[in-house]
Amino acid sequence: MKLDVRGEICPYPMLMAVEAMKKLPEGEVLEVLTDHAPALESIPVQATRRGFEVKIEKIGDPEWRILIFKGEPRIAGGSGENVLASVGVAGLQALSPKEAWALVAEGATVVDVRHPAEYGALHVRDSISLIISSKKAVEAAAGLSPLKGPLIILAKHSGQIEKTVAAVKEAGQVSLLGYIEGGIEAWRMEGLPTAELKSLSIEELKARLDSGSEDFVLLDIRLPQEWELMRIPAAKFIPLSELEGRLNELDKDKAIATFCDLGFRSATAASVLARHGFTRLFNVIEGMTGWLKAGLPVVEGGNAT
Amino acid sequence: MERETSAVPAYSRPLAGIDWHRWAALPVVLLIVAVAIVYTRLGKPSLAVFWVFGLAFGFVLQRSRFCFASAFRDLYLLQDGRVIKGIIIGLAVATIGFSLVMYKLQPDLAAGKLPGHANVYPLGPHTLLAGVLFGLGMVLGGGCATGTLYRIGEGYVASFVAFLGMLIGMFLLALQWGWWWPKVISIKPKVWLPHKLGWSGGILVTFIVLLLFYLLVLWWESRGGPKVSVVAEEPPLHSWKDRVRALGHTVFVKAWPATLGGLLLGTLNVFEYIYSQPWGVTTEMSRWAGWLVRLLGYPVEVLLYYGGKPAGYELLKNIPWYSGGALLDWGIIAGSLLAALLAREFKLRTPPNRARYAQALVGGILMGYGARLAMGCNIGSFFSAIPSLALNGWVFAVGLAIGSYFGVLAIKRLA
Repeated sequence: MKLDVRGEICPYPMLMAVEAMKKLPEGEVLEVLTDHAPALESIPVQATRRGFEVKIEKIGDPEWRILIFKGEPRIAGGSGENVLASVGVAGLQALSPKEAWALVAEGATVVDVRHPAEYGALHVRDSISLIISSKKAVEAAAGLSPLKGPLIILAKHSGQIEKTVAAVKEAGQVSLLGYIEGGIEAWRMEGLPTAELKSLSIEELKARLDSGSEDFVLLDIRLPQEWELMRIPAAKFIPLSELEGRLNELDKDKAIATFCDLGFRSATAASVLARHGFTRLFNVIEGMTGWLKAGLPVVEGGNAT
Repeated sequence: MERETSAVPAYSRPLAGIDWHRWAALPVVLLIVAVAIVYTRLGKPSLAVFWVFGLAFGFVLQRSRFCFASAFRDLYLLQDGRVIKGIIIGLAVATIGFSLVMYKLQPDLAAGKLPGHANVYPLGPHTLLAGVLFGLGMVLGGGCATGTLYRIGEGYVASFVAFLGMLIGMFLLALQWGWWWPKVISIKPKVWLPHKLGWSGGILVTFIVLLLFYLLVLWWESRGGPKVSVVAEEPPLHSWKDRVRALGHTVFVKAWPATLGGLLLGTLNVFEYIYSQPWGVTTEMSRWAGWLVRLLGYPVEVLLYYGGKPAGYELLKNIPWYSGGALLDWGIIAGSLLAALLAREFKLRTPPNRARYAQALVGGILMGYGARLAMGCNIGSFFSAIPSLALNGWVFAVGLAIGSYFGVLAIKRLA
């Protein structure tokens, strides 16, 4: 559905967009063309309030295309009249899920740059989670062997792909084969192998720790200086950069919850463990931030063990 | 296997064609500097100062998209309080600054005098009526008095029509001023809160009402649905150059939060009061209306509004390019134009629906009439009046809220 409100004066761009959102059929994308800059703030407020997702693209000086859609958006390619396809992605090759799977069989790694919660819900089996918008997460993961490439990107939208391309360029010497057309949705439709990563809320983590079960390991993968500053009493500590070399310290039969400050790096750690055959994995998405917010006790100033 | 890749961070993605906006900004900057130099050389450096004030107001208004018309309108229409929250913050800041200036000017309340230039006006039914007319007009016209000026700078043709409407409305009021002033306005008291409640009482009451109003806005917004914060994805910044470029982007391209806009406008308003008098916009525009009508051959000086002593405006002197107010208003347009060019947001926009011109004209006429009936617009009678601890500011605000409500009803019918 298309709505052209160029030239309109305030408040008609917003008012007409809201009316169109109300009438938008399920699953369709609303495309609003506007030259009214204040609409770039008002329309997203109205759209997110109604459960839509929003993507803004500048298409002229000054003209914008605002895409308003529900649910899992599809990236370039995909089926039918997909408006997002026109966005174009950093000159990178679009790979069909089958092509990507064939490359994985030859040794390529799928790097999943979506939010950890999305990665947790469903991801390409053996893909590495890397939250590309977080500089900290990218730096911490820099030395991991699966990321030495060649890589295939799985993203939610083109912005993430562009950012990944920029980060890879920065790192140098890593070859980027392309991105998976249609994202996780297309992958699933093809019936290719997928996996999930369960997340653990702070309350669940607390309950597990309180039970004192020998069957459960809380694995803190932050930097040594973060660990020294503050840590959870019962946690085991292996920084992400050392994880691959110290896998023998972990028991594959035990439940392992990976832990960092915000669930980003811990998602990467869990995805590395999954590649090495660990199956009982959990990600503490709220991380130390959530632990502190819940007012739970920490040890401060301890030495790294 | 390796393929050629290229990546450009989202914020600097180049668009096809020449970046004419940034080139056009150059002559605008030169013009701005030239005006300041010319007035200084003419022995009127104070006019150059007003010019700078106007530029600053225009720049902030454009960057923070600070449209007073949308304040009440978007609350009713969209349960969105973005701008009104900015306004409340601006009022709070200006209340502190104005109180200090006024206390310096008139510390002794027992004398019963008003501090110089404070926007305390006769308070009567006309204040409320003016607020209603102005509120209705600004919603219809798609912008308040300042909104119309800064939108002209952004290239909205309909706003220029609203501007012409305002001049017409102001002249209509001037024609009837001979009745309004002696019969209704001049006989009404000027109610200044410190005279009733003392200094601390007046300031405290103003702050409490502003706080309650802010809480009310939050409640109203919550009725519209959840607030979902969207984390903007921004590329990592590595070098010093990256950081400088990102700063430039934040200042010149990205929209400023309305709260920052309010804070800056409130602060600039205090600075202007310290320098001369509180920020006002439409007194000057009514001069232009009279000046234009006199060019057409009508002897406006026979009207009380333009010639009479009681109103005391001496409105036909120094027009329209030789007074502080004129430089301030032109400065708002020029500052907004510059900001819009640098943000690549300038565009001559003509509404697809021709009826919008009529709407803007009618809105402008209502605004012009209302603004002068209250002796100030959304700035003089509201944004500068409430910080002056003047009760007329609050009554005008109630009028704006009522008028905006009717405006929203009309807007929906005209959609």
